[in-house]
Amino acid sequence: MNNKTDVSLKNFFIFNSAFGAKEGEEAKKVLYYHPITDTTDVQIKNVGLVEGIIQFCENFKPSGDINSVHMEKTRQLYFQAEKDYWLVMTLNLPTVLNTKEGSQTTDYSEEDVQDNVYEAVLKQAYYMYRLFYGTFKSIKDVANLMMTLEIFYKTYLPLDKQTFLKVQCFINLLESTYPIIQHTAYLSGIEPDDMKFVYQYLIGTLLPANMETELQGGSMPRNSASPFTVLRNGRFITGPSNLKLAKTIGKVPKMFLFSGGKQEEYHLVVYRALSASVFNRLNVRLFKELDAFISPKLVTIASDIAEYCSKQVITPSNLPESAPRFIYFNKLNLAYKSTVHLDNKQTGNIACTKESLRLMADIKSTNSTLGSYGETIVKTMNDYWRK
Amino acid sequence: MIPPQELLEENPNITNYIDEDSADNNLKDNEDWTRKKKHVFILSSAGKPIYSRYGNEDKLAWLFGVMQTLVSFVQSSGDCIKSIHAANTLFVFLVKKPLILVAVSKAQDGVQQLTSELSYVFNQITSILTLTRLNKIYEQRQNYDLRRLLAGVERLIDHLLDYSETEPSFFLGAVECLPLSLSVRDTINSAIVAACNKIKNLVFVILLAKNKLISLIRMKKYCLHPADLHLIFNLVQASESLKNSESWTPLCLPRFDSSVKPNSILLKKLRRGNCLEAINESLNVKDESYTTADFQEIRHYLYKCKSTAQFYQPSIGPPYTQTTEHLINVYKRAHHKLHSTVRPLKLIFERNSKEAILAWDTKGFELYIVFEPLIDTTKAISFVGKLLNWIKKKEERIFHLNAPTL
Repeated sequence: MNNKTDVSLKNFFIFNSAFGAKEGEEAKKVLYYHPITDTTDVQIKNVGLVEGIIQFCENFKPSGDINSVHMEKTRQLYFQAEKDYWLVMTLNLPTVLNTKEGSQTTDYSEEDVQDNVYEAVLKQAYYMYRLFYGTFKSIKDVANLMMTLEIFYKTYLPLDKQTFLKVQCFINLLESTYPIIQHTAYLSGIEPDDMKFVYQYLIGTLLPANMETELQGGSMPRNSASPFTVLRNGRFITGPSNLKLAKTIGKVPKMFLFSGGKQEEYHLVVYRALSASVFNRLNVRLFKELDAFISPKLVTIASDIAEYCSKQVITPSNLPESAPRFIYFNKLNLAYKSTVHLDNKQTGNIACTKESLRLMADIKSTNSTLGSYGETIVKTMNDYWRK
Repeated sequence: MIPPQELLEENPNITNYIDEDSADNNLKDNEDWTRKKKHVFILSSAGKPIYSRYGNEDKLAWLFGVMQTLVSFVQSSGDCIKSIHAANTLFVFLVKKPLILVAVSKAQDGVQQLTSELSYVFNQITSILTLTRLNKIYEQRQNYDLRRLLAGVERLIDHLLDYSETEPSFFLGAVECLPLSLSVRDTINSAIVAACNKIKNLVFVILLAKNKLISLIRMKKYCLHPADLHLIFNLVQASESLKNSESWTPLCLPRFDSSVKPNSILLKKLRRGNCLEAINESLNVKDESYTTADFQEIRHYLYKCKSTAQFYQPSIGPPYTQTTEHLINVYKRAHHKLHSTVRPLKLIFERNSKEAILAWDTKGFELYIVFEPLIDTTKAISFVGKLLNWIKKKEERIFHLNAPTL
């Protein structure tokens, strides 16, 4: 019965079109290439095609960069992250094997792969890198750059492949989310664009499901006299685990955040008390002060938030099947609400069909034509309404 | 029939009408050319230029070369390039052996629409040459310059492209009928049947006026695809000689059978006093469009009757008299979403600052209505019901329902 294949990653590469301009030096353009099983010749050929397409299109002066190239069997997504630095991702389209009158044909489901979804995935690949290593340009030495790319994407890609297959990417598309507004409330000076990726990192990597258990489970007896005993004082998720003994800041991930076009280097410190997380740019001396300062205040705020969150979480799963589901996204403050997801992690575990999700992505992609004001109502073949 | 090559070269008007120096290698400096809303290129599989909507093909030869390289490069890896999406510009490739057709559009159309337009262009070429002949030519000489055979066809293609930008019939896959009362239409039909009954091998008789169908009579065993009808419409419209006289033109209808030798189509004008008057009257009178009086919030609509592949639209009024293309694009987008191959929809209501559109697909018909942007949804729904009633009443007049056969 295995006559279907899902979308899969064919290759992913980063190149600089200004490098290796001389004939015979084309290999120098390639900064990172996945999978390594492709020979140098194949790599050069693929990069060459991409460059050819880019140059061809420029004859017609499009208003922006190329986003994607559709082929019968594959889909290619382009992202010029920095001048001349291009990230390219090629996907094998999902296929369905049809048997008609004895002969077998393979159909490629082009429409099941939506550009805007995978564009978001590709951009995330870059911004995640930038979060930890800074811009490509800032690393002067090409060999060094290639090394950081290698280190980063070697671990990044397999992880991302998983998410490809899930509706996770749909979340990326809808951009950032509702709890983020709580984080930003404590923060100032971080650009919203970076915020999204910080959030993605936290949700995807740092804070596994524990947030959910705290919120949904009995760890939060609302009417108990002494709630939150365990979590009362909060804790640092990154940084020193025991404050009293800490002499160094421990392993704190570095982050590169961008504000006003300038690149700044920060250390990421995630402080966790109940379900609120705070990051700060600090050094080790401030840790203890911070703990003392934030802890009591945060606990009260956080319990409020937690209370609120738990209501939020419970609502969707209690909804009857036929109730309308919605995704609300406010671009200005990156707030995001969803009744589509049944859990708080907002990956997978969705309440409606994949088709519907894709449909919503379709709707999203028409937003540009609608202008700043607009509304869309559609009725699907099986009588679902979307607005 | 076929002008010698020299003539083509001496007379730039035959190949194209764009000023000579504007389209040279420095396209990047040529704003006029790059700003064109929709480019269409046709080339042979070997990369020989055949047609460019704007600019002189010979001077663009290098660009045709690039397109051929891209297509064959992708083909070499067992794949086939279909489209490139770059911000506001969409590139669509249609590889139909032995030709390659490319459209470059900044008009916000979708891939499906551009592909279908390119297919029309391809069909236009095969309607003149037939596919069999086309294949034979390239089998014999890969580097053949097809322009030798296509003198005059360029104008047809130009016209076809212009026509498809302002006509809903193309994306709807339907034709528009001239509103006539049932009795007049019957009189016309029986007159034609009487006149043509004795002509041997006559397959179709089509009577049209101003691109609207008056009568279509066919042999019992054949029917005509709307796409082929469009080609005939285009031919009639684009050819001056056909408008003024009776003439014979060989034409191969691709949807009918792309391999057979040309069917001869007799184009004839009907000269029967009483009917002609009625036709003229209908042409001149502004039709009773349903946008008057209590339906002010309906700006325009399209109604397609699926069983007959015919559609009806009121005449285009303000605010679209000057921006018909915009209106057509609104329709095209709605049509595209409704008929998305994987995720088709039954109903769409979309509102933006310029207008609101409702598109509805049912078993029997498709309906597209453009409203004032601030229309209330419940009101819009009630309009739909009233409009459908009205159309039902007028059905016999606005559609050609029972096509007689020979």
